[in-house]
Amino acid sequence: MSDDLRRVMCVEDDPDIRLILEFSLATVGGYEVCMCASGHEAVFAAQVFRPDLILLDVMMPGLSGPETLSELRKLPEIAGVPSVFLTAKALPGQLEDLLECGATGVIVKPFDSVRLPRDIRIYWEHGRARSAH
Amino acid sequence: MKPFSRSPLRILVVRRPGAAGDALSAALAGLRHGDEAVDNIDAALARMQHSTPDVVLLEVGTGEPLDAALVARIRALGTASWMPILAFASGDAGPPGAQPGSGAPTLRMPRSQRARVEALDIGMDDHVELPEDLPLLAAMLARYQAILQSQRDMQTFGQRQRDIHDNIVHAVLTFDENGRAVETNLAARLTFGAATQNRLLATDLLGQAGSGHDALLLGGRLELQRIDGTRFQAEISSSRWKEGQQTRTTLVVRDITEQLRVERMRDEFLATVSHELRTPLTSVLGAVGLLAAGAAGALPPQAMSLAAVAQRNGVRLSKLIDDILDLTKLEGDRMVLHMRCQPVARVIQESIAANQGYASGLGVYLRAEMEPPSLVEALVCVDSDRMLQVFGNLLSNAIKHSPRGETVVVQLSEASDGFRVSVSDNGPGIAPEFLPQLFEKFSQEDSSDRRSLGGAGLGLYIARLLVERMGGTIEVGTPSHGGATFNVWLPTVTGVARGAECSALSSAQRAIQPPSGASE
Repeated sequence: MSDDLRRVMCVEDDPDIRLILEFSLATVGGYEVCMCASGHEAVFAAQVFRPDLILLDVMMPGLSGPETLSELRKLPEIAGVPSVFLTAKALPGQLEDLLECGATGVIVKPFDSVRLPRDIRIYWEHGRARSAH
Repeated sequence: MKPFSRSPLRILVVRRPGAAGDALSAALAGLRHGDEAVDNIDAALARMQHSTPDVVLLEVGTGEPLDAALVARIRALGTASWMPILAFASGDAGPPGAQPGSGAPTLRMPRSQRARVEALDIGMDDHVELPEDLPLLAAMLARYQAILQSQRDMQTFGQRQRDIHDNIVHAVLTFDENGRAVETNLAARLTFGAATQNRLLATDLLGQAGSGHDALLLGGRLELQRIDGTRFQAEISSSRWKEGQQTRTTLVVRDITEQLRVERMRDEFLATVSHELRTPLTSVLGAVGLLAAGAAGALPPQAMSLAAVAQRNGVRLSKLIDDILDLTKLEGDRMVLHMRCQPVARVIQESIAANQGYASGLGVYLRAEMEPPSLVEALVCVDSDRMLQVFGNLLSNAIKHSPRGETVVVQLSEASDGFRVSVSDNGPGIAPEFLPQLFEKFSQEDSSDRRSLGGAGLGLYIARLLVERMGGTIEVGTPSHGGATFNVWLPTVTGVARGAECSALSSAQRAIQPPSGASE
């Protein structure tokens, strides 16, 4: 695992939110980002991009967020990468279910686009500490 | 029994034509009974196919011999209730019954008494000699009338109970000590898909319930099986009672398949609405936030103030969506709470920290007080996120209504069987006439207030529902120094709850809490 958070992969089907995420993480946060519009795209891109952290939307057509995560986990180079879900906290008990999937954290929509780069770093550090144990 | 409203008896008389029979009919008419006369047994049996009399009077010597088989045939045509069958002999008939020397040795007794014994022996109810026993017959009929009336009353009562039982819309089943069903109602037959009660009684209903006999008898929500093997979700309430020495258990079983389907649909609908409302808002707030932060280049001051308006109102809309969804979940009892033991002081501290920025922006100070200081250890069993929401609501209200430079005080103190958290401000206070509606839905002190300070009047209503769901209470105090004080009472954690919550705590601690979404 890399010793700094540099590359962030985002999986989000809504093009406007993709734009916001890219602006927030690349322009404000200074991260190298890889934007994916679907789970399948993410599975394809992840092997080349080798992200340090994955940010996933939950409700997406095709592969859902949790399904995408479980597909990504099958890739040896992605298996230990911290992941964070973005959710419109829809169903009761959803937060718990998402953390059960093995995600490091959950960020609730609408999120603070200025604070997002800092927030994901907190999760990345937490996820790295957890996998070190 | 109603002795004055006895209905006349319908009497079927089987007799030979002649004066004696006519005298009997006249006598019965005199007693206000209705009689129908036929002159042989076959005619009587044919008649009984159509209507069952209350009493049958059979003249001795009308063809077929009177024996037990004949009496049984007559009884078989009657209803389930008792139907008196009397033999009678008129003066001109020969000696009835058995011939001397046949059967058991007869005691020396009058011929009429011997005839009565013989009548009873073959299953009849008595024997009379006419015309001399006419007064006896009249008295016997009066007695039968009373008995038949009480028999009818009992049948009516029983039928009514059965009808009520069958008109209960939920399945009602009664079991004996061995777990065998002894009685079921119509809804039980429909629920379990049994054509008849006997089919249902022959089924081992308790054995088929996956969760077992004892769980079923305790009641609650269980999955049950119909006769055809399909399964359904049921809500069961159970009660035990005594019938003589026997213990009975009566279950009321409600098929909640449909209810669960509706609940699932409502959850899905809520999820969709929530997703559809929050997705565009995420883009709006995200874009405005980045603009206001200068991420796309520094904005001129006038554009900054416009971006701030858009941002403020986006956040407001986001809170309104949260409130409406919370409300829908709370009122539909679909809110899942994660109750665990924790120091109430820590929850207070976190809610103060979360509102510090808002208070500073308005020039209002926040202060926490504890009396006695040992309360820092005091534990409560709450859902910390939801408790933060409640305290956050009280704090933001207090901050919103405080003049610049004033202090909002959060005080933790001991109260009977629990703790009290008070949030006090030095604002204008609450108009007395508004106090009764304060914790109701859409309550706002006046419309101008809504415009100037924001909010839909849902916050305190949701706070009340949340506090009540967590076993506490919330009320508004009337401080003598002015301003407003809200008191939240939370119960002390009992020993059992404390033990039970420790395990929940460890599992919950694995997950770190996400930072709150949109902050002001």
